[in-house]
Amino acid sequence: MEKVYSPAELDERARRLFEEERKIDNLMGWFLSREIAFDAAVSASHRPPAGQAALSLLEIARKLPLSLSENAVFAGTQRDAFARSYALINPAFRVESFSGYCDPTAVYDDIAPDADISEERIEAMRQKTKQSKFVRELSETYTDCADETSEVLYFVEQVTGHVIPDFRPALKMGTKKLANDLNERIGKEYDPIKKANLSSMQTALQAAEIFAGRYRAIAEEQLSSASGARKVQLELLVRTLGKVPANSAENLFEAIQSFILLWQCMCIEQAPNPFAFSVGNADRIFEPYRNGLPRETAAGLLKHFLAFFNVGDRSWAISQNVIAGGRGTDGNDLTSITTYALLDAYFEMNLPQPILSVKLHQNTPDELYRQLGKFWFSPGMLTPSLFNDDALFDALSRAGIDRHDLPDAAIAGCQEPLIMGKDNGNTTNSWLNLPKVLELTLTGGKSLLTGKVLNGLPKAQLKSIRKTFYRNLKTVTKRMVKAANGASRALSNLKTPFLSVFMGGCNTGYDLRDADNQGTKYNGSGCLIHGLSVISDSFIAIDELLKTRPEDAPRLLPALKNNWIGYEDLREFLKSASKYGNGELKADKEAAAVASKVARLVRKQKNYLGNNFRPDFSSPTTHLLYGYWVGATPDGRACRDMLGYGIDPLYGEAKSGLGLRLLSNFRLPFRKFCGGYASHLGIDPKEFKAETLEDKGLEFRNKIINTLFFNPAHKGHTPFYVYFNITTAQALRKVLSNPKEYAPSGVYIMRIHGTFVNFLDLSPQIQEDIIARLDPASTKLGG
Amino acid sequence: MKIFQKGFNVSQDGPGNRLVFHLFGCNMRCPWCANPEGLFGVPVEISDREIVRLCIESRPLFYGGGGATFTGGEPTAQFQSLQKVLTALKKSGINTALETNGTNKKLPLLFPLVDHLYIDCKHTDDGVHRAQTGVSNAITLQNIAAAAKKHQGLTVRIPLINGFNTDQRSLNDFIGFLSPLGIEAELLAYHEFGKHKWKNFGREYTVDNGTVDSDILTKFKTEIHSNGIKTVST
Repeated sequence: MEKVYSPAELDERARRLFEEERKIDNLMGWFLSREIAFDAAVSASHRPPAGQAALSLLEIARKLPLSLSENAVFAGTQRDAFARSYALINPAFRVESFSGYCDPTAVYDDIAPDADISEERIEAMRQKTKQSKFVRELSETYTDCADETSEVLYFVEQVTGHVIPDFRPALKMGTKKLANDLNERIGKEYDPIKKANLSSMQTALQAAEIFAGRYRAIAEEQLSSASGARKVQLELLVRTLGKVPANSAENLFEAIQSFILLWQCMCIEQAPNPFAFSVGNADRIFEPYRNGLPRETAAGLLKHFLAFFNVGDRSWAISQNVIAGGRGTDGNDLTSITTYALLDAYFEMNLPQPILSVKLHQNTPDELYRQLGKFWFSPGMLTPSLFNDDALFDALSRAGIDRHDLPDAAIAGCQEPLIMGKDNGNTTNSWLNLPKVLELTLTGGKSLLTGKVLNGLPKAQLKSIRKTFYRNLKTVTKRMVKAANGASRALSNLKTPFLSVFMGGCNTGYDLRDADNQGTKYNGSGCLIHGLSVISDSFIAIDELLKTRPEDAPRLLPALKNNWIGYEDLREFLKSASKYGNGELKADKEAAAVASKVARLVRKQKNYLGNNFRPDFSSPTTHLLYGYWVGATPDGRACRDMLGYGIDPLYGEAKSGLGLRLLSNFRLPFRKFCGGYASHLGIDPKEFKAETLEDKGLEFRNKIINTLFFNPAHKGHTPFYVYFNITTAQALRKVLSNPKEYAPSGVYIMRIHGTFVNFLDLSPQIQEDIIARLDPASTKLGG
Repeated sequence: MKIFQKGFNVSQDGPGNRLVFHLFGCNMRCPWCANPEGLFGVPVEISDREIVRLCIESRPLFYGGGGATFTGGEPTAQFQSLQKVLTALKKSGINTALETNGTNKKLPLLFPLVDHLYIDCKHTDDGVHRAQTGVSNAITLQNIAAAAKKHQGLTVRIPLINGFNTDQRSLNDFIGFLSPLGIEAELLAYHEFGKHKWKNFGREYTVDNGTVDSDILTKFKTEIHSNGIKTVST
């Protein structure tokens, strides 16, 4: 490999490839793929839906325009699966523009007509999509819950992407072998539905080989006029494309090439916008193929792997996660040279996507922390999400995951733990706005913002606020679950035979999305629960009001209606009540109780296949969006202000430093968060005194990670996720005011929730959210 | 235990990163007090068990030789609770520190439970001491002498307030008392970080011109040091 590509050349090509990609500001491929798929489905209308989907995928593979950049080391792209849709990286995004409706035809607004694709052609596809069974059923679901979702009492969505395929068998054996195995299985299968499904999967597999063949032809054409080093490089590519993915990969180059083509097919099958597909434990996937390749060269190849995940001018394929590190079932460490090569690739490229997550455990080697120190303490550098594998094993085990599957836990999207190749978690299926439920509980179902009656919920007496809140929450949750299952059932009309091969479909005989028969070993539906700290702080504040100033209790509702204007004294009083995040027992216990009760309630709900919903206390910027639809709350929060992020205290309310904030944190029932949760700490880099970045990594472990993840006082029930932004508000404002000086490359990476973004690409509202949530008073290490 | 504040602090209330509990109540009425909320504020009740639990949970945060510190107010004003908590912490192997005005007769009972002991020595003249703080210094001086013999981790803190204890006679008296004891001392120059808090409680802050001239501070440091008393600063 070193004779074909030096590490320096790999690096240079990867950067040029990324720059090339960033110049693409009109994404048409998904539209073309939908047109091709639609026509193919019409031709195959006599076949069952899975068969139509498989044949559509083959037609896309045959007809979609392909190209191979002169900078490319590998062939393949996921560009044709994505539109320029993701709102949060659109600088024009405004919180108040959130519509509460996930219209699958809205994507047709994200494509600009040009000489090849006219407005009429776009409109024609929009109308065809609208008439599809999927969209009609989805629309019915949304119509039924329109009032409630209009002010985000809850939200539901059909979940595309958001799983972690297991490509390892395909890398190891080749798609030909997989297809042969399927053939054998089909021969033995008596159930006609399963037979048809398996047959569709076998058909769909060919798409990857078709892509390989077409890219090979392009490479051969380029080879005919190439010379020197490029000639040798193209020869390698031609040989490789002639071998994989149909046959086993035998080295790292072949493995990455095979992976890329499989990924390309998987994404196109669900175009447009299958966000948050994730790679899984990438270092473990690729280490068996490294075969002694030096770390530097491996890193060079992996730079191209990372560049592949960036789509268009703003890296539109958001929330695709690559995870490294971690442990086996016996606590043995699983880091390898490929782990470090992957980190090198990430560090040296510093790209906006894909997300990096790192699994830590009690036996994580010092060297990994030393490498992480470089990420944490280089301004503008991406920082990985961190997962506590020890605690994750525990939480997932309690949620019913088999012991031998635990090491294959990886992260889909931002932070949702799923088992690679076996788990359809429908992770973002439902979204619950607890403070809106509280609002309607206080008002008897009437919005404080609009006066509209959203739901006929009974009004609470303050002295029994908790009882009525939880009763109302049960009512709202049932409505939400009905809508969420409706969305999942609507989505089941869109089959995914290709993906199903890599999600256990070959064993079960059912599609991943089948709404009547479970196609994957594990299945659930996620519920993202918002507003934990606002609820618990509100309960405490109400208690304090009733105890200390009962005569003011009747003023509370008018105060909320007026957004505290004329009631400033009452607001001051309520804000001074004990708040979660300050190491205060009463407030912290309340937060734990709320989390526990709500998690239990959500977990009891059944999805379309009769499996449990998965409580997930995360809020991917939706703490802003949903907060916008909540009036003033009894904890003293103002109307339309943001909610707390994930499980974190509401910004500004935890003022007692990191130590006490972590002590509050420990009370939460992390074992019950089997759908995941979000937590962020903004840390001032000046808190760390070691001389080198690497030594600061160890210092960070000693001061922060050990306390949070490996605290012996909490063995068995510690947090399992966190992400950091290691910077200050002042530093970020400098970047904004003088980007040429502080971000000369035009890229300054920050984390929002579980995804990286270029801070300079964000809308001003999101920039301000990131700055506010650094919340320095809550993360100061000492006095 | 009644406290009015808790939080982490690095190095100023003992070595390393420490979880510092400010206990409510004090038998003195020093006009320069920087924590008047320990006298006039509303305390929060926190069980002894909870305090111990917080300290044990915080153990990974006690880097740099850190641990738990009890200050105030005057922590020995809640002697029973304090003794109970310190005993539990010692048993758990947690480093402990105590900042006290030294006026409690039973203070020596805490010596085996405290790793770092900070006793204030405000004035050696009992009459002057009583006039400003409302309390005799006799037991304080006794406790300092006892701690010098029996405790390995003693630091005597001298808050220097202009017009109270910064004259030559006071300096000579400090040296005369501390020099034979073989202890280390820390000089704390007057500050007004707590002044605004008095106003918040509707109380008058009566110290006028308490700031110590830098020359005086240097003189104190030099003469104390040259008389064999080790000086430290945190």
